[in-house]
Amino acid sequence: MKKVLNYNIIGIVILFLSMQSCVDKEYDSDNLNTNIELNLPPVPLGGFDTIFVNFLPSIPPEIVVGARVALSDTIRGLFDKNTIDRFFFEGSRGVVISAKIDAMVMPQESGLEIEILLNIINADRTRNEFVKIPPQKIVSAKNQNFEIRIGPEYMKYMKDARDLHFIFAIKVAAINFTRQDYIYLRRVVLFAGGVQLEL
Amino acid sequence: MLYSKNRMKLRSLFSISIATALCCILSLDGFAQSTRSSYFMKTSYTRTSLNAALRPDQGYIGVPLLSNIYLDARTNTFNLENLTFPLNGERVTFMHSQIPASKALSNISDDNYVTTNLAFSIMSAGFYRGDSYWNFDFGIRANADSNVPKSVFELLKVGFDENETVTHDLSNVSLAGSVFAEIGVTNSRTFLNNSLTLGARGKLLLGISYVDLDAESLNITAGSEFWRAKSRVTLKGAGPGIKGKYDENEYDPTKQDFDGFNFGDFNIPGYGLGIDIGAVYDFKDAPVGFLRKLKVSYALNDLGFISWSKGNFIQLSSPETEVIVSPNDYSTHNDGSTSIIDIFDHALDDLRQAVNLHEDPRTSGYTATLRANMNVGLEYEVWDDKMTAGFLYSTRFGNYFTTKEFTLSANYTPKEWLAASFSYSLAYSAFKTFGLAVHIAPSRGINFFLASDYSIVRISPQWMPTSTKAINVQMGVSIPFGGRRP
Repeated sequence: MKKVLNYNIIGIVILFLSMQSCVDKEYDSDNLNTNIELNLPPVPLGGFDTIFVNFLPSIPPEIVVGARVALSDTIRGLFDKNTIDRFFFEGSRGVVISAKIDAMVMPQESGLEIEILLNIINADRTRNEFVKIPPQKIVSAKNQNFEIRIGPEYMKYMKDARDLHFIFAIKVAAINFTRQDYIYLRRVVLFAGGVQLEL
Repeated sequence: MLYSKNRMKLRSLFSISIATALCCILSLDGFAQSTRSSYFMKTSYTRTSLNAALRPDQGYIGVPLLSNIYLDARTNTFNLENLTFPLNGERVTFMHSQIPASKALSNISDDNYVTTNLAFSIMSAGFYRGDSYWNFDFGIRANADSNVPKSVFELLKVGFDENETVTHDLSNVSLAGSVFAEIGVTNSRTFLNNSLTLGARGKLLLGISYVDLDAESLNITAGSEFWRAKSRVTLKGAGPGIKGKYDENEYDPTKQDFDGFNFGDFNIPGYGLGIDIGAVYDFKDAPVGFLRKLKVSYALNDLGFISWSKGNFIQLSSPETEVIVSPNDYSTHNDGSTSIIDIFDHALDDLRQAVNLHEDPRTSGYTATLRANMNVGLEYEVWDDKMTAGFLYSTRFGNYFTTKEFTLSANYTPKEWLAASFSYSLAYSAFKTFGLAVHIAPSRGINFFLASDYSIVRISPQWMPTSTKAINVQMGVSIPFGGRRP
């Protein structure tokens, strides 16, 4: 019996020595870089809330000639921490938010021009001085192309971004707004190229 | 908390593939309940499960719970060597932005599978009565197969293009698995002056759980105009008192999202029958001299079924569903209630509705077939009573794919109480590992064996396979009785 036990012990030792697993330390998952980037299709953001341009009463042209008025609106909370981490990360190739804009502000023949200025507002309610978004001009018409372009060089300044602030600088010969005048951004699509994620 | 929730939702794009694959790496497959290295070892009592006509050279009683423990997992792709890469002094995943798609996908096959198996014997015994060999065994078996097509990796790595509409066809994602208890009785007899041994094993199967996910059709198309998902997916499940678990949809309270299974009180949800058949022919009486040392064997195992009862079976499907998400479908409010990621998650959730499974009405139970496997062996005695050379071809017919293995072995019996086998399995070893089995089998006392077809296992410190594509190990303890058979 003792002999058999010895055989078993010797056998087990031989087996375990021969079947030793090899541990590859270079594959230590504690040191694995799990940052990944997914190539996304353009992300549909739908339509922004309609901005109504009814803040001034009608003023006939003989009284006000060549008026300039400014209307501002803010999309609050458009950028939150998750959005920044995913889309506006340092190293991103830049983000473009593209949309169709319907600017139904006074009749088309009024010669109205709207310059849209865009600002990023930080979480502390201050304007982000570093991110420069090119302004754009539109006229009174439907289905105009519009885009918000935030270049890759500004991504490092987007960490505290929270709101998107619009200033519509309206240049018109005479003010004759109605309650039906509006500016509407629709078919808003975000082109980010890639989204960053940590597994 | 919210951040974590959002992260999870983002991952839903690829969760089917990755989750399935990673889960199955950790689950347990294989061909049967024994290593192939033991197939030609006459001291092995577990080889009866590979071929019902193969028998040990002595009767035995298995030590309860220890007579046979067998674990096996194999894959053609899923190891860290294939899915991670060195970059700037560290290791990154194939999805890292600096790993080119061509390099990341170079290790990926058209179909990438993981197949796993566990066999655990609770009680077993075998004995000779005349020329007959009888074997009784009661144990638990579990198996799971999963397949992830290359297109899933292309979706993850290549993704989409901003300027054109891209389609990824993710069809053929599959997962199948079952757990059951097996009560088997084997009998083998010799014929033709002991040249031919025929064996059969009848099995009563007690089903414990079953799952079968089949994405017959699943594709995602996306561009700047729309996102579209189309699917035809079926999920079958069985288990004690199984019921679908649903969560209220975050965006539409009228919708319910499938969220797994709930189980009721324990019962036996399925019963089945199975049979293994095998034959060994010994050419010892052949007229040609060199043939007299040759043995040929053939076995067909796990022919059978488990019938899952109506009350313990559930089937869910998403028949021919198509969901289209367009840029007009959402609204961004200026009151701070919608961030970009909120809308993105909403769009993903809508897309996911294409694979939102709905419970089919239960009209009857379900009968599932077992995963049959076949073994063909050739054994040639090269040194009288001391050493044989073996070749074993094994095929396992899975629900969705078939795996094969070719094993060459040298089987050495230096002493009556000691047998060893050195083997090499062609399909999964890739010259990085070999098989080894050692049986310490004195005719009295305690017998012990340890075997593996892939004995050098390369793993990470976290026990994940690195370059290894197959892992299996088997051990058992038994008490021999009766005299040795020639």
